[in-house]
Amino acid sequence: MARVTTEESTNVQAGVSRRNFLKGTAAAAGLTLAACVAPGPQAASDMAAPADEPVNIQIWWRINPTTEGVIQVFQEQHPEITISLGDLGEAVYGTPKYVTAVAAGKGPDVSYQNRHTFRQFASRNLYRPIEDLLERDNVEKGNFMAGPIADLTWQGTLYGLPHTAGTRYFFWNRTHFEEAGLDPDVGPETWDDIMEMAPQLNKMEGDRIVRYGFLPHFPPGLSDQLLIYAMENGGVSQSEDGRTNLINTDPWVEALEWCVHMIDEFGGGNAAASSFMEGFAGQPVDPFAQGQVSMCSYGNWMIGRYAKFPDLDYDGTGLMPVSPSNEGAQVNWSCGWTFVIDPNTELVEQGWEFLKWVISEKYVRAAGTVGLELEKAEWARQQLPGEPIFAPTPPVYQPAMQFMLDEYYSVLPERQKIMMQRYLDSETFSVGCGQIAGLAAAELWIGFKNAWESALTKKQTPQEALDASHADVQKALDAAWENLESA
Amino acid sequence: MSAAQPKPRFTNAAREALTCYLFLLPWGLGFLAFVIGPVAASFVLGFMDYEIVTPARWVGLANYIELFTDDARFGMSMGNTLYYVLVFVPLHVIVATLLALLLNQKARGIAVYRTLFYVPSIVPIVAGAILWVWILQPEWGLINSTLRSVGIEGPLWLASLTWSKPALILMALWGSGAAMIIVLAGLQGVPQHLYEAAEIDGANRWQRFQHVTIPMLSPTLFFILVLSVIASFQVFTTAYVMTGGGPAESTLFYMLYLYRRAFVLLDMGYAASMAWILFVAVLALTLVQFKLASRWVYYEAEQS
Repeated sequence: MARVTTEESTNVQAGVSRRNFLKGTAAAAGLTLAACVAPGPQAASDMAAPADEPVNIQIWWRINPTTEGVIQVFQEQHPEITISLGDLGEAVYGTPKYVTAVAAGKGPDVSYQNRHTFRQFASRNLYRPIEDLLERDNVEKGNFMAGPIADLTWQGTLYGLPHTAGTRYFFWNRTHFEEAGLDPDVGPETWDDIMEMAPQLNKMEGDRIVRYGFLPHFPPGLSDQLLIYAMENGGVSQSEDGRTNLINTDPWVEALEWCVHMIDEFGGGNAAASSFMEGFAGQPVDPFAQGQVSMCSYGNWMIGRYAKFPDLDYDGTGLMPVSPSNEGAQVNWSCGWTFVIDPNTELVEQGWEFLKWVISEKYVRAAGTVGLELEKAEWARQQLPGEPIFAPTPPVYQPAMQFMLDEYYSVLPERQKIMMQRYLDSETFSVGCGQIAGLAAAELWIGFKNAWESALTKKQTPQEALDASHADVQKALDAAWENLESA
Repeated sequence: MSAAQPKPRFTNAAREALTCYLFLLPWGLGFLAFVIGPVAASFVLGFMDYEIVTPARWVGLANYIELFTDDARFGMSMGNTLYYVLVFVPLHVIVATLLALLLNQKARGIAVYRTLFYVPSIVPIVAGAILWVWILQPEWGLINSTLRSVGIEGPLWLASLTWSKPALILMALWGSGAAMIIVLAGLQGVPQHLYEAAEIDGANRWQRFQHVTIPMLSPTLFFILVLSVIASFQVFTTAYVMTGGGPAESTLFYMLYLYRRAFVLLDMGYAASMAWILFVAVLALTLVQFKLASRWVYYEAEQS
């Protein structure tokens, strides 16, 4: 059976006199100090390379066989540019390595960035605006998915090109559904459906739950689960003008109360459920993949990853189950990765050339080719049955997406093709994380985690926990606007 | 008539001094540029609103005032850190001393045992932290599995509000090997004739330990105590790797909070003021320890 996976993813010598040694030491110290004052981007560009020599740009991305492979392809297609690939480091809920490097004037020419904190950093001039480059080269914003472009736009100016997008995705285990007498083709559409199905899917050994129908805190260790449940209940994170944080309003409190209730009522209480989930923290395989959770709210990138488990018969949708008060609403949120240009670099043209390439069909083909070879090797190593089909992470640039549909998705197994289509449908109504998080993004993601943990551990009630997080985020938001307006 | 011998430009002493300073110069320049410079800069930054990417703005004592009057997390993170210091430091000194006493015996293969107990202290801290995440895993981790085999249901450890800090302390105690080696060296420096004299005077094993070993070991224990207190106030890596400050900020230690303000929230001025408060607190505590040391630390040279 063909299964598809997707990309993500010194010594003084006897003959030397003391005088000469001291001279040498002084010279070495001088050289060391000189090396500490290495040329910055400005100085680097002054040392212009001869016209026929390739220009080297530094890109901070992820270092893995796939990225190294596609960089190789880019260099073959662009002999005038060479790339030094560096790793971006921690980057989802903040990007300290990039921020400190840019602040020091030593940022990479091009960098990968997540959209969780994008507007916050764009508003602080951490990225080069690219409107002039778009206009000059006739790159149409309309050719991108609307949500990611909105995420990357701050006060009418675009600050990066979106590379990938990912939405939440609700998965269910078809085998478990059949065992419980539920229709495996139909997943839950409302919270009431989940509450009805979860106890039927729970599997007990004595008093102990050994298989959970549904646990809200999935996957283990994620910091932002609360967001999707609040959105499913009609919650919005901030006012339209982006100045008022709203995470302690009723829809949020009710959503957190519902999560606590689900764990207490159907998860054997927080101690048991947390103990179970902690068992998977840091593991490459999550409990849904291991068949120990029957329904979970995760992300579209798992459509392909779950395909690596031959015994897992799964289905899913990007249409998230909603609360009774929000019935009929199409709800989801989307985030993803973006390429930006350092505001201080003088190698803008080379950086821009890379940005245009990495969003295009050429990149998709390169990623598909490199990825398939790597996947075949992994498939053989793990002695998995059948032949892998590799589809790169869905792009955000529509022409590249069309190429992806024609070239890769058309050969997917039927159910995965349907799941991919459901994901693409969900992108049309998803709200981008950049818009959700606003100017106090880093504080907001920390606030979600704090409220979630405080409520689940019963340290605070959901209302108290969200009030506390709201106060932190609102304070940061006020300060961000004040700084912006006084600048 | 012979010409007068020219007077050397530098005396031997001056030349030696010059040589000395030349040798010291590279280190001195590095110390100024990379230690004194940043320390002085952080003091000034503590009075500024500085977000790295925007120009710094002078705010006077605003950061310090906010810390003490409008930041519940400052008190909470300091409370978490004090808990860690008060529980870990005494246990660390006791565990290191007991291990050293145990490994100071003349037994076969003692060098192997000493090595085994020392090894954890040279395991890279991040690697050790990841290992302990697995050991402390509530469902199938080594500790809870062992407890379950004797009918005890272990706690949630890192996922528990109550047990998260003790879990980190337990992991830190695993690395007591370095202190153990220092105490062992101290034990082996206790003159044998003192034990013999005590034995002739009729002292039993406990009395010899109480009146010979402990006083003679006190300078070593004091050294470990001072360093442990300073290091404990700066606990960061284990919490950063193992819990990220959770659950519900129960392991949000002072340095982790400082890191969050500086490198996640880009609030460098505020973080700098936090760093100076910690410096003053640790300095004050260290001075108090030196003041109190005269009451219990025995220096043989001073007595003679």
